[in-house]
Amino acid sequence: MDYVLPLTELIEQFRKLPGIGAKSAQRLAFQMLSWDKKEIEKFANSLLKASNDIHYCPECFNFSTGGGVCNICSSSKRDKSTVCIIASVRELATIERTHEFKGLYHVLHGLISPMDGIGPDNLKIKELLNRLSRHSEINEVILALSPSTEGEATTLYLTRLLKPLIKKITRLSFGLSVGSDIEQTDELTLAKAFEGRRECI
Amino acid sequence: MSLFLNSISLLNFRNYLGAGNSFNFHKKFVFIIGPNAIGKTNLLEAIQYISFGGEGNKEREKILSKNAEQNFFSIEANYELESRDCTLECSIGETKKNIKLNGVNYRSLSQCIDNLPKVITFKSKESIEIVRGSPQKRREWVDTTLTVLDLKYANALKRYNKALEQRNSLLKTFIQQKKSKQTILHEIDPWDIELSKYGVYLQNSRKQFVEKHSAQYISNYQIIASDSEDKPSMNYQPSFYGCSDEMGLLRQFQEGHHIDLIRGITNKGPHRDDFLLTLDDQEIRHFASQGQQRTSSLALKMLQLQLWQEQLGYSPLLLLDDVAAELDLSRQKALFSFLPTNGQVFITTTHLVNLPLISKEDYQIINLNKM
Repeated sequence: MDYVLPLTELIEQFRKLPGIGAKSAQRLAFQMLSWDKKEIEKFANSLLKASNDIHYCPECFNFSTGGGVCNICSSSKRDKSTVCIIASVRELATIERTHEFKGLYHVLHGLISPMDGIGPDNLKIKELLNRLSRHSEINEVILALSPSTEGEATTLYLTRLLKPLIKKITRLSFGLSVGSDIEQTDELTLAKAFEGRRECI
Repeated sequence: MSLFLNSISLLNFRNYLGAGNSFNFHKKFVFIIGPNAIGKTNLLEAIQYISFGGEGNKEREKILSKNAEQNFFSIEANYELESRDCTLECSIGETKKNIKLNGVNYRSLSQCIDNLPKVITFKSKESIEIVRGSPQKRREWVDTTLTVLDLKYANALKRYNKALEQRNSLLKTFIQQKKSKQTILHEIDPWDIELSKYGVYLQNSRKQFVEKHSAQYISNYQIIASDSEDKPSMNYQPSFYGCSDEMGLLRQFQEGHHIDLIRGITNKGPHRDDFLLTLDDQEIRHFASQGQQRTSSLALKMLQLQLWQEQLGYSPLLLLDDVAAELDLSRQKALFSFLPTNGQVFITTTHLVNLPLISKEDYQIINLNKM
């Protein structure tokens, strides 16, 4: 169907987003057209502001604003001797919500995947090595990458690379999710949980 | 425990154009009869499409979309799986797939594979390829069979194949001169480890599989070829010799680096395994007659049936395509002796000859000619 040109263009813009098909894009565009001018301005400004102000933290490659390091790297409450390596900023937010981890992060921005043309050089690995050499206080690295094929390969690659540099390298354990039922757990997870069982104390 | 396909409705599937192609099925024997090119095999293909374990499933989407005059088809099936009624609706278009099982949407059939009917097909023309064809055909048969028997095997296979694809992509960057040899050798390490970790499981499972079950294959063969003196055997031929642990596999992957780099592909490993089938110490693939090859492939399929039955506690659906045309009477009789007494069997044939010892209430005849 033919709409007026600005609307067609708006729909096209929405379609660029992941998970948005033709129908959803159309719905979003129509929805926004019904908004107040003020609301629209606020929306557009947020978008511009986010794009202008946000940059990567030069230490950990988390999002940061104001030109300097991010609020985690600059916090005095964080344990500067432990670095948790993650694939994306989204995972950082998830881990932060647990309040379990008090150290610093390092965001790789992806996982090794030759099929997609992503090698170690395309990730923030050189930057990690550089960071480790500058901060001798770092004595533990936690590899918190997902147990997919690419996550495993990246974990293996980093383990080999970091072994000579860092005393303690750990990775997250596999197993039962909290609040789950053993009966409802899939067999593979359960098998992994058995492999990783530990002694009661 | 049981599995029964109660009904299936086809829309635009192969030659079943338009709506109104619905079939209800008997719980024991379903004979599908009619002249050539009326759609007997297509009906079996439809059953195969919504099931796990059928032959040629990998290529099926391609073939289907090429043949379909409309740009989409749909299949709706009602079946009883482990005393649960299931409704599977799947409509497949060129760009869009809609899969719904018991009202829940899935992205693909492989996502709900645990709840699909298990099926074993014997097509006399294609099934013989397990015996006669490339090693890949035999690996596929073993992989399919083991996937149902061992969940860890299914997972290891998936992970192995993914890592293999990644490793090959990495090797290709050298051929395309995007990366230096040194870089590749540095970056290939994690893939070697990943392949060894899952490859060792595949290798050991395949070895055990042959050790444990080759006797039953031999006995099946001798039942089917009751009048012959053939001495069949089955042996595992791993691509990597003399290693049975992760470190051993890793070493062999590493030893392959040189040649892998030249060819831009992983030359050796469990993805190149073979299963050697012989008769009187001669390879069936090269030296046996067509009748012997057919007997061997049937014996393998019957082994799969026996193992799945034991594992699942019920019989998978059995699809026999045009077997009467290719098997002689004594072999047909032997085949019937293997058929499950409590399972469902679909048989296509051009003309119904004497039904071997099946009582009237145990079968149904679908005559496609009269539809």
